[in-house]
Amino acid sequence: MQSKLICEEFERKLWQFMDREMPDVEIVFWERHLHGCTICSTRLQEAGETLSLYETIPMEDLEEETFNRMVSKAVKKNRFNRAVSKLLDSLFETTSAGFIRKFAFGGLAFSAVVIILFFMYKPENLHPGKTPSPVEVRSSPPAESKGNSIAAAGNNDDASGLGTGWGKSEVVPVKYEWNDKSTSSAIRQMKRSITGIRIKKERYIRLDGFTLQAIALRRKMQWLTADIDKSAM
Amino acid sequence: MEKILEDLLIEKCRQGEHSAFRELVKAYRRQLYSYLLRLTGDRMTAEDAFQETLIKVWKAIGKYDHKDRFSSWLFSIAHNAAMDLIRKNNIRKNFFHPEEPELQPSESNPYSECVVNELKEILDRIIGGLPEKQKEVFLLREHSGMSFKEISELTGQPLNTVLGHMHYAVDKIKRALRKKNAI
Repeated sequence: MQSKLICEEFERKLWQFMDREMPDVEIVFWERHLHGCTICSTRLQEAGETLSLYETIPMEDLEEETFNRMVSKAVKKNRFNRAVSKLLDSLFETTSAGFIRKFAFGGLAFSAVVIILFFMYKPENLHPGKTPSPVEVRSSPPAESKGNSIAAAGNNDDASGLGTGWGKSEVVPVKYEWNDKSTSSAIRQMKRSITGIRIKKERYIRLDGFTLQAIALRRKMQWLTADIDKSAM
Repeated sequence: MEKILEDLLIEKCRQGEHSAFRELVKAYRRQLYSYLLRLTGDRMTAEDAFQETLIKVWKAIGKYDHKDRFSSWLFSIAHNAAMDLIRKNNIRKNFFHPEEPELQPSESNPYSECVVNELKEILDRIIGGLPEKQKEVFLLREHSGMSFKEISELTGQPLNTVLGHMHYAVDKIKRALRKKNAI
């Protein structure tokens, strides 16, 4: 009974015994046990034979050329990282040169932050030359873009459900600055509702006939109706 | 590789010497590639894992602690890289089918050559068919020379579980070889 328990314990410890990953006292104990136990010594022998058989099969190898290419790639890939870490290390030097570098690095970082902030919060009207030309909303389509402008929507008044009076006047001199933020987001929303595509950022929106029609159809939007009413008066 | 030479090469690697890095890794090339090939069961994945290992080793060589064995450190990086790739490629279920034999046995005897090839094929099949955990432990023990304690730390399994995996893996190999009359 006791011997069976010891044999079961040896089965668990066999690999550690093989690799001598146990205290010397334990090794001596198991060696003694193995002298008198044929089951455990056979188990150990078989395990050893299986492993040695595995070790006889030759290992696979990479081609020299492939290996060299891989090494070059690994080294090249980390060249930039190493340069950055070297720079950072030098920044934390306590010498006067280190102080100058620290100062220069701080200045550069500050400038970068200022530039980024400037571009993030830049008022769009700072560049009047870049703003798209104001949109002229007509009640009748211009000859070159018949059926493709807001006027087309005006002509389809009945179908679109637009209010009366929209298509009656000759020209509605409505002008709108498209680089207004609220307008851009309104148009984005409209485009999304029409096309189902979410437009994340669109600073200057090119208004094609389709969008203009959409704008006309969405005359609930205050910025447009207000202007239209004003002009109608 | 001798420990002194290895330490010297590691120090040179830290200074950015590419040739030292090449020499250092070259010493473990066969062992490492064989291990990765048997673990992944796919030549392409093994090469990708090898490349990934090189990148990581070169990047982290400055953090290597001399108290640990370099081979253990290298194999733990390789093991993690391979496991990541296996997870990514989801090739776990594929068994290993060797593409073309690349054996160059030292013996010129065609009979022994044939026997070795056949044995290799049988063993590759058996190992490829082992459950993942058992395969991991068996291959790490056989190729990396890591201790079971180190394997248990690397794989995040208790020591007794690791020993159990090793026991079952070898038992399965033994039985399969017996079936094929190889032993």
